[in-house]
Amino acid sequence: MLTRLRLSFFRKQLLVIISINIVSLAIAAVLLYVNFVSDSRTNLVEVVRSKVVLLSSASTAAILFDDKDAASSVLATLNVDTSIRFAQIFRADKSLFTQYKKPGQEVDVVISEVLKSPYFKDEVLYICEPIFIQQEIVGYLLISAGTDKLQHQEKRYALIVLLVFCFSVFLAYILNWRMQKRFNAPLNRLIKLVQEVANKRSYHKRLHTESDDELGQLFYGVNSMLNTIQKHERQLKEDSERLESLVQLRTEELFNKANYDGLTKLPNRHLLNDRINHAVESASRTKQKLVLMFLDLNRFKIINDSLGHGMGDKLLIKVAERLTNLLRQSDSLARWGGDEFVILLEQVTDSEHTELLAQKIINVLNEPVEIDEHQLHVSASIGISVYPDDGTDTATLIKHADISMYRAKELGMGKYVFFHKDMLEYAANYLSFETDIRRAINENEFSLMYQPQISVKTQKMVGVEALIRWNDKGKLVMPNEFLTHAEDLGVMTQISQWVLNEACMQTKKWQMSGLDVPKVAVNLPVSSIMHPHIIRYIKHALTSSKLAPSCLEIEITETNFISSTDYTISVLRELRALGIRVSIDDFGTGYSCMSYLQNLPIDTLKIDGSFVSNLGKNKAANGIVQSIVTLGKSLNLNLIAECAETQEQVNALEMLECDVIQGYFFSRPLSSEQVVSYLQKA
Amino acid sequence: MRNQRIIAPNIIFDLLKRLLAFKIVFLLLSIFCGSLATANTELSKESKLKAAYLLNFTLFMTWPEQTSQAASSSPQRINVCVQANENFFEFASALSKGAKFSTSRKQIHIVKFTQSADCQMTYIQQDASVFLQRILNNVLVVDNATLNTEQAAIKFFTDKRKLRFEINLPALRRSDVTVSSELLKLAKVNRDVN
Repeated sequence: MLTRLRLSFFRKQLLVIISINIVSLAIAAVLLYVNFVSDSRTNLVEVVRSKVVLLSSASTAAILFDDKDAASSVLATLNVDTSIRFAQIFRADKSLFTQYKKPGQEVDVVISEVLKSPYFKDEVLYICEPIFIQQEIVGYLLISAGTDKLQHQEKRYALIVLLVFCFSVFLAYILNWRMQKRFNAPLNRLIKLVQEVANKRSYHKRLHTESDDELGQLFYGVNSMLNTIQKHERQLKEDSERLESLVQLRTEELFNKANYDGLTKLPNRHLLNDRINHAVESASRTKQKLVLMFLDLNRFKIINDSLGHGMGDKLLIKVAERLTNLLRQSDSLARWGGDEFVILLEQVTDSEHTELLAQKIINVLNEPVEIDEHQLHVSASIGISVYPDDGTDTATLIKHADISMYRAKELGMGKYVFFHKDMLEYAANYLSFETDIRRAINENEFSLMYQPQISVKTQKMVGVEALIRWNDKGKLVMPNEFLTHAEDLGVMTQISQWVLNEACMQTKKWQMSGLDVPKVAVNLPVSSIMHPHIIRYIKHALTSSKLAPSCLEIEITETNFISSTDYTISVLRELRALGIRVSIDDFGTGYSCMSYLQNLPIDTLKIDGSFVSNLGKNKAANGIVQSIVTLGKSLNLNLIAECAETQEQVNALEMLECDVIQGYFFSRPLSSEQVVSYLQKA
Repeated sequence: MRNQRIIAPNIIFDLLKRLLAFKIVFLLLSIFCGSLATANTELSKESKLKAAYLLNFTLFMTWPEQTSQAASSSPQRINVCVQANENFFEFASALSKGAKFSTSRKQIHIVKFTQSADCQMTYIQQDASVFLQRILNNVLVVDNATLNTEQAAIKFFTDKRKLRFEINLPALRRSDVTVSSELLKLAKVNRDVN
């Protein structure tokens, strides 16, 4: 019931207490009233009975001496008591002796009815007692008393009890209310605090109390709980702040990781894509042009492999710095991956500016880079695509710039090429070429041709140069058509290894069969020379073929040689130490520094074929060849001339005192079997 | 029919038997009542009342106890000496056998005046002034009509055909007895010394 009422706990408590009070007071009032009624009736009986006893005693003599007057006068004394209705004295034989009646009252009972007294009938009391003398009954006295007065008293008493009851209930309510108010004051404080803590999170609030009763203990408990919560809250806040800052830091780191290259701190592929997207959108609105340069470092792989990744990383950082210095604020430079960079030029007005910048980049990167006492030579090949001419979306622009870059690489180091749609076909071919060359290595589709080298003095063959050929499904592919790609694909060293082994084996085979093949020259690209295990590979080729080291000559092109590092030179020194001869191929095209040449560990200079071809046709060519021969002689080097095709050329070379001549005049490149027959003819 | 003839003599016999038993009871009752009637018929109603009153007086009077009596636990013997005819004496004697006159504390005995000298109360019906010197410390009850003496403590008299009594306080005081006020309330009290 109470629970259904929407009352506060304290109201309910008060209601319960008051209810208990009312019940208790009601019980007390009823008991009191019943007790009073019982008492007053008993009292009335006692009073009347005492009257009976008194009057009995007073009327004994009157009965004994039959004196009715005396007896009547005794009964007449009852008239002072208004409650007495009538009184009768009977003789021992219960015959009426005398009686007294209050005016207006009638005798309404016979003695036999009331012998067992007290007897109540219709709210009237009857008491009849025998009159004794010396234990002998001499008569009876009957008194009847009305209870009107008693009833009146009872009513009055009931009223008083009711009033007292009402007053007590009221007093109980007031006292309980006051007391509860006083006792509940601290509880209300507690409730207020709990609400504040719950709603406003005011954990700093405390309850103050000096009492040490249960409430005091409760307050103490709540305070200590709040202490703990406050401590935890503080701790939580600190932890949360620490975590937030950590998350912020990590977010920044992640953003940087996702958008920037960790090494060069340049934007990465992802951020670059975004920037290109934005630039394309902006350019499409403003009808301006965009330029995308795809830049690849040449020889970076060689440096990375030979000097380690640490050196490669430092080189990349230097390159990034140089490139950044060249660019405008509005241009974007990004590292695309590995040794590839992409430059985005916005608001481009003319292609001249682009060309100028491309050339500037090439020039800057051509300059040697000094890292940890190493002088590193790199160069760049750049492919360029232009928006909207070469593509209108990011992917296309990058793809076309990439294709252009490969075209530039084919043209040699340090070149830039603008995209042209014809390149797409080439690029498609390039992809199929990649598959083919990998197959060629696995299925040994390569073969070697040998071009004899003839001594000018003795007119005898003093050696052969091994030249690689690729029999691609019956079609013979020349080395210049596939070696550059092989280099890009990273399979160059594998090919070089094969060439070394094959050349050494064949030469030894010839020598074993009694043919006079004093030496074999093998061309090694600089990437192979700089391979960390190249010495081991060469040694292996010699030992497995049992060819004398002196019978092997390693050729390296001048252009590669010039840009090579100290490491290359150390490798060459090591080869020389093994007894292997070293020659510089295509000499005269690389603008070699003469004084530098003096200290190189080389045995032979091979005069570039272009000079030989022009011998006798223009004086400049003659001069150059003459100079080379003079230089070689002065440095005590052996001199070989390539591409000698005519008698005039041979004559001229003899005139110039060239040591050895190689070319179609004497023999085109021969298969191993043809070499046998060539020698036998000779 | 046969049965009715047989029953009739039985009923008659039964009735005769009952009549005989009733006759015997009636005869016995007549003899007993006759003896009582002979005694009562000789005594007037007034005399009987006087006898009853005389004994009733002892109920409202207290005599000092004798030392020998006080020591013993036996009830106090009160001798009521009667100087009256034989019928009165017998009637009074019969009354004195009543329970209220023979309690553990006090026993009333009716003795003939001539036979005892130790009387606590004396009733003189006839003119017997010659005996007055014998009556010293006891309560003298007299009939007003027969003896008028100052010595008498209680005198019977008739008022409006009702038997009443008068108490002479000085005489009573001389008789060394204490009288209950209840008795005094019923009596005509003479307080004069004479």
